Amino acid sequence: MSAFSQDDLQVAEYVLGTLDAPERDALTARLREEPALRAQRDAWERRLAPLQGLVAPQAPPAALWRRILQRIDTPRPRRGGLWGIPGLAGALASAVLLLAIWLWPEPPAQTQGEWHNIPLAVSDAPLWQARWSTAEPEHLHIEAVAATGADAEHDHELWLIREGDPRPRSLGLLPRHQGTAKTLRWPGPQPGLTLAISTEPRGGSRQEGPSGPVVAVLPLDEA
Amino acid sequence: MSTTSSTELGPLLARVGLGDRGAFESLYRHTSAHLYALALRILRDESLAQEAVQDAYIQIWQKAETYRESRGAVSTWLGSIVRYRALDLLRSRKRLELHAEPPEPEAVDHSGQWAERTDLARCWPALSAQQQQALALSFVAGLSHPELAERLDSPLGTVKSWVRRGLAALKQCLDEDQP
Repeated sequence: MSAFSQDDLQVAEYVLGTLDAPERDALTARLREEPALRAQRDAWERRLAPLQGLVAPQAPPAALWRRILQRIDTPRPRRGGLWGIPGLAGALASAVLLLAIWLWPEPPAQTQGEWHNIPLAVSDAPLWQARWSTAEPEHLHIEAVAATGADAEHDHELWLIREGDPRPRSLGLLPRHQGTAKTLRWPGPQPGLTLAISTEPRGGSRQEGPSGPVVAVLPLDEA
Repeated sequence: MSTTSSTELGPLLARVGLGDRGAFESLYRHTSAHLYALALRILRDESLAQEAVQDAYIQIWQKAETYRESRGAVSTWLGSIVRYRALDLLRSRKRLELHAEPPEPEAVDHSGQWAERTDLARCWPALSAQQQQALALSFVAGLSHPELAERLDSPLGTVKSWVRRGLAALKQCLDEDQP
């Protein structure tokens, strides 16, 4: 019998459909972060795809196509459908995120290029400094410049939303302690991108998008 | 979808990725009966199945340009999108203890005609009857291990073993012929 690791079994059962909700959520979160796991998922999808043929086609009601058309014809919210996230609009009412992008006077690291600075603030309090360099625009350097406010049971998670795509993509957890820093990968500054911060259980959201309150939103191209 | 090959779906999906509404409608016409049936078998509820299919096509419209051949044939990718959406809806319903009746096992076609000329069909006979039934029911109906145990009237550990050994046997058989 060929090698069959625990991960491979989990991924196979994810594709098969046997995992319960917590197992499924946990693996969904790992799939976001682990390319090797995604490759295993792709392989199992290919292996099991013929099982789709067990189900005889059945035409959906005609009204379904009309509803889909309405959905794709609906003008998308300017910031990539962010308002469609449950609870987000309410959360934003009490949250303010300051935005300023300016030329960083001195590179904070040895990376060459022109540095840009993005302060990330929650309720007027700047908590993190995000920086990117034109030399390495795909790297977003984040430093916690103040106590983050997250208690022992929570983390803050940074999300990226693309215009036209209502689903936020996790960029990773924000550093917890003042003076600590980390580098996250992102696509670099592009039109229509929005950053958002949510408060999550320790370790981050267990689902595909934010599970806790969104405490800040930062439309990059309003700068 | 059975009458439309992935060779034909590929160019359609590429045009959808460019925002071609006509291609999107054509893709829907060719694939919606298959995707709706997949969702309906998992959710056993027409309204929820329509919700799953609607969400899936919105996702396809928005994400078509991200499709890569590494995800398998276009039909595989489309089927996975709707199945995962249906499974998410099914599991969230069960979180609320509102789940529907499990499906009747005889509703699954074990004749093998479903997968003619596929590698999976070649390897399928290597599985025991119990393994075949467990894999087919979970894939088609989204049954969890405890639901499979109840449906197949067998101990939970036994059912888990059927699933695990069936998957391992399939992997071994399918990977043997990989170049």
